[in-house]
Formats: sequence, C-alpha cells, structure tokens
Amino acid sequence: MSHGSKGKFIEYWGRGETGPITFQKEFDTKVYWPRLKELTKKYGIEYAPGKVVPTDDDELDAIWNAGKELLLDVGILNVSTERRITFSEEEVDAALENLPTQVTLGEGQDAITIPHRGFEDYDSGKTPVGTMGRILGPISDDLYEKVALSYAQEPLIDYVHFQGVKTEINGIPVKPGSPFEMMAEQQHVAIVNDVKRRVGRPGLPDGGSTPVNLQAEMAAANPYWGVKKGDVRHVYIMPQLKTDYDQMSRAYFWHSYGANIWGILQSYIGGAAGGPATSAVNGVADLLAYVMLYEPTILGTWPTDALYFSNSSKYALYVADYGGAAFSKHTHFPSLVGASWQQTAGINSEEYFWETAAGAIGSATLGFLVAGGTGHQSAGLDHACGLGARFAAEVGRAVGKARLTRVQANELVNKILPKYQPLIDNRTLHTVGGDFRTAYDLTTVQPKPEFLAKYNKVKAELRELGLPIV
Amino acid sequence: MAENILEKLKQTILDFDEDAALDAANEALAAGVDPVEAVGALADGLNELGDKFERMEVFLPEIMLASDAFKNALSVLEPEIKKRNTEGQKAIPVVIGTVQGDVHQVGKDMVATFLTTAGFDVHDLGVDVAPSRFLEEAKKLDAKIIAAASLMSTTRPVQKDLIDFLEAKGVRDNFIVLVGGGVVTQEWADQIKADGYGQDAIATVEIAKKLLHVA
Repeated sequence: MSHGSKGKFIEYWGRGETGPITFQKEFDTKVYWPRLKELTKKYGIEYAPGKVVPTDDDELDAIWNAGKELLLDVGILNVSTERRITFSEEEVDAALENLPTQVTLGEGQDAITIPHRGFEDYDSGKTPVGTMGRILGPISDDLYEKVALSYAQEPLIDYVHFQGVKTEINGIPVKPGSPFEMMAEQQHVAIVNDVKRRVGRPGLPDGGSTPVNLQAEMAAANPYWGVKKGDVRHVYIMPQLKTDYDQMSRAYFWHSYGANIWGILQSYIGGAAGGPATSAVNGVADLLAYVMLYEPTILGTWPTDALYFSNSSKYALYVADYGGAAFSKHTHFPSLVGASWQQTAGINSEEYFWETAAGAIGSATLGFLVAGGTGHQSAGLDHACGLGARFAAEVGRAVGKARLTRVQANELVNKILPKYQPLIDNRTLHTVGGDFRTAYDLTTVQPKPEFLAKYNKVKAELRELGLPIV
Repeated sequence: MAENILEKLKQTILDFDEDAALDAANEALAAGVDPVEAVGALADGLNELGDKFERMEVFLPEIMLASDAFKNALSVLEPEIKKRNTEGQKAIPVVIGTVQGDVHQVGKDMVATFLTTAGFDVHDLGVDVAPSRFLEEAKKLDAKIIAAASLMSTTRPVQKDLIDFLEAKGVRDNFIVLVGGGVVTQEWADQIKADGYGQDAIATVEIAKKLLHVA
C-alpha cells in the first residue's frame, strides 16, 4: 500500500549519520526546549482549567502549526549517533498526503478496519470507531491466561495489547537480553494465541510489545505459532523527539516480517515537554515523527503527568484530546486510539471506571478509538481486566447514542474529573482498588458481584449526569 | 553591596543563566563576599525552582540549565572555600541511574532534578547502568546515596543485583540504597533490603533527607 514515507526509510534513517551533531543534553535544553516554548508562545497556545475536550478549531490549527514547525525546526535526535534527523516541509507534506485513509488490524473474521473519522461524526459508522483493551504491567504466572481471557471474551473489544509482563521462568527472573526473555516472549505469545482460539477469535489483533530487547520479540515472530502478520508491535519515539538505532531496527524487522506497527503521542507533562500547552504541541510533533520515520499502522495518544504517573489527569486528557485532535483535523490518517490507555487507580475501584469514562467520552466525541483495562499506573501486580475495556466501549456507545457535541463532552468530563483528580493532586490514587484476584472469580473468569456493583454504580451516576449508558 | 550580589547570584539560578552565574560568582569573590554565603544564595535559588517545578511553573530542561549554572558558579566558589578552610556545608553526593537493561529516563531525571534542587550533589549516570558502575562511581565520588531506578518488571531484579553486588564486595553498609520506578513498591524494597523507596520524586527526596538526618 502507498503509505506515508514508505520507501524513504534508508534515506531518512541515514540522515542520522550525517545530520547536525547535537549532544543529548544540548538537544533537550538548548535546541528542543527553547524552540518549543517560542512556538507555543508565537501561536498563542494556552492551557486553562476546564479545557479537556477541544471546542475551538482555531486552537487546534495553532497546535498543529506549532507542532509541525517544531519538527521542521529541530528534527528528531538519533541518540545512537547524537545527530539530528531533519526534514523539509515538502517531505513532510508529501508523506502526509500519502497517508492511508484506513487500515486493517488482525486477521480473517476478527480483523478490524479503522477509518479516519471526524469530530462529532456519528453517521459514518459505529461509535466508537473501535475499542482497544490494554494489559500492561506485571501479571502473575497463575493468572496470566485468565487475565488475557478476561479481555478476549469481551465482544466489544476489537484490539488488545496483551502486554502483561512475565517476571519469572521456572523461578528465574526474566531480565532483558537474557535467554529467559526470549522464552518468556514465546510463552506469552503462545498463551495469548491459545486464549484467542478458545474464544473463537484467532485473528483478534494483538499489540502486546512486552520484551525490552528486539531479539526476544524476534524469537516469537512466526506466522504459524507466534506473532501473526495481522498483529501489531510498538516502535518508540522516545521522550522527547528522540529515537535510536534499536527502534529503527524494530521498525525494519516488523515491516520486513509484514506485521503492523503502533506508535504514540508521548509527552511527559511537567517533565521535558513542559506544561500542558507545550506538551500538546510536542504531541503533534511526536505523531509527525512517527509518520516520517516509522510508517505506523496505528497511532494513539499516551501523554502522562511526569511527576505522578497518570494517563487520565486533567493535564493528560487535555494533551491527548487537543494534541490528538489537532493531528486528526489536519490529516486523513485513520482514527487514533484516544486518551486514558491505563488508569491511575487500581482496578476494583469506582475511580478506575471514572477515569475510563473521562477518557472515553472525549475519544468517542473526537472520532477516536476508546481504550481501557489496566489500572494502578500499570505498575501494580495483576491490575488489568477486561471489564474496564468493556466499560470504555459502553461509554463510547452512549456518547454516540447521545450524539454529544464537543461542548457537551467537555462539560461532562469536567463533572467527572472531581471524582478522582483530587487523589492525583495528592498522589494517592494508585492506592485505591484491588487486584484481579479481588475483582474476578478465578474459576469462571467473570467479574465478582462486588466489582460489578461498582461498575453499575458508576454507570447509574453517569446516567444521572445525562449520558445514556446501558 | 554583599546583599545585592547574593541576590544577583540567586537570580542567575532563577534565570537558568550559566554565564551570568559564573560572572556573579567571580564578582562575589572580588567584592569579598563570603563564598559559603554565596553558595547558600545559589542553593536558595535552586530551592525556589524546586517549588516552582512542583507547581508546574518551570520545567525539566530549565532545571537542567539551572543546575549547570549552579555548577558553573561552584567551580569558582568551591576552591575559595577550600583555600579558606571554611567549614562550609558540603552538598551530599548522590549517584543515580536507571538499572542495566532499562533505558527509561524520565522518572530518573525527575528524581535527579528534585534531589538537585533539594541541595544534593547529584551525579547522574544515565540509563542502562550496571551494578559495577554504580559502585565504581559511588566510590569515586564518595557518595552517600546510590539511587537506582527501574521502570519495568523485567529490570526490577537488577535492583536486587545491585544490593547483592554491594554485599558481595563488602561495602553494603557504606551506602544508602534507594530504589524507585514504575513497578517498584515498598514491599519490593523491603524484600531486597533496600534502605528506602520513593514512590515519586518528592517522596524520594523526603526519604533521602530522613535517612541522612538532614533538614
């Protein structure tokens, strides 16, 4: 398929051998940061409390222009060579024009085709466009298959990052670069494939990029028993606007193999990307960097607060929704995966559902895929379950049913934020909730009544707030 | 006069201005300002930036620049302090890094930044740092604290390797070992017998101060 900058990788990656030499610290402090600040000011981009779902197209245009200019001015640092890879505006425009308008993930009857979708567009297909379930963080060996099953068995979930981390093989720690990492990856993929077959969805796309080392990922790349060509693997634009030869090697390998690649807007708010406004600008540059360097099949928004890790804070939602919407408005690339990929609260808490709802409302209104499933900052043991992703899909459906405008969506999310933002402000949200053992019956692999009670309570409160969720 | 210069020194930190910091430090010495007081003014600036950082009024790249400004000024003031044999308050050396196999740096950078603004002499070893390198650098710098970050479940065991390594070399008691990172918990820190665990950058500074009995 004609796609982005396909065919140009040798030339573009090669610029990492000839581009301007820039040491990493110099790039962070004297190249990237001053230009990001200047451009954010030049285009008058400002964050204000209450801004979550964008309602003003002019603001999105400003963020787009600033983000594109940032990429053109500073490029991407190849950390392996400490040289910048830069592009001309003509090259960027040509790649954007050449982007696909739809992509397909997965295989056979279980494949999902993702089109481009505009804001508040409830007539071009189902809402949400799709639902991504995410497992991230350490998962116990005895629960590994059950947690995966809790996602695969949910009909509303179209695409899953089966990315639970196995920590041991026969009691031996799985360290990066060790043979145990290769074994763990083969075991992980085998379990996921078995679970998918068992629920009658053998082609359900899997985006779980678990290993640290490419060699371990490669160990499970086998179209017969391992990673399928319809599956998706991650390539990383590192914070902020950096990459390296390892990431290029990943992209090279997966493209050669014929599988798909996912990438993310990944601003660390409060860290190197600065405040919410500069982080939104950086987000556009991140997504453009993927287009230029890695030909991703699917892109998503994954900003996080740098000081207290949260994908769903008021700042993270602003950056995901504004940065993602700016990119979406100015390209015909297929729908992004929207905000709140993982929640800050542990699963088995009301806050976990409120965070999921806050992300999904903005995503569905903006024409993005909704996401959910993982809790406890993706750090706690066994904090992932399919019910969270199902809930994200149901919220998205309700948004479509209500045909929410962006103004209404913004008002609704602002009513939800007080349910959990104070616990982000005092850095305790990760302490609420309980793990998979507390939330699911381990024999039937179904949510326990007390977990369902929390899920139903939040749904009832959402209905009181005017969202017709069933 | 001295007060003006001290204020100027502090302002160079708040302006993240490396060159101005060096100039102000030279000016301070030429004007006979006590170098210990001059370092105190610079530290006040860093403390103020730390508060602003927490309120999202300044950001990581600016703290990095301010830290360079501080080091620039120190390069002039420290020899003078030594020459006068003055009992200055020496910053406590800390080595910090992300453990071997792990290339995530954002969380570690945040902790390094907060430790710097809290007055520690932070030596950042970067990412993918082997246990032997932590020890080598800590010995060289006479560090009191080794802070090891890990973002992933698969690299968390390397924090245990670090402690095992220090024990095997017979130097475990020479250092306070702090662990942190996305997948690290108090339970894990207890299990591997780390001295402290920081859930985030602010908590890490608090535990470092508590363990060293500094205000």
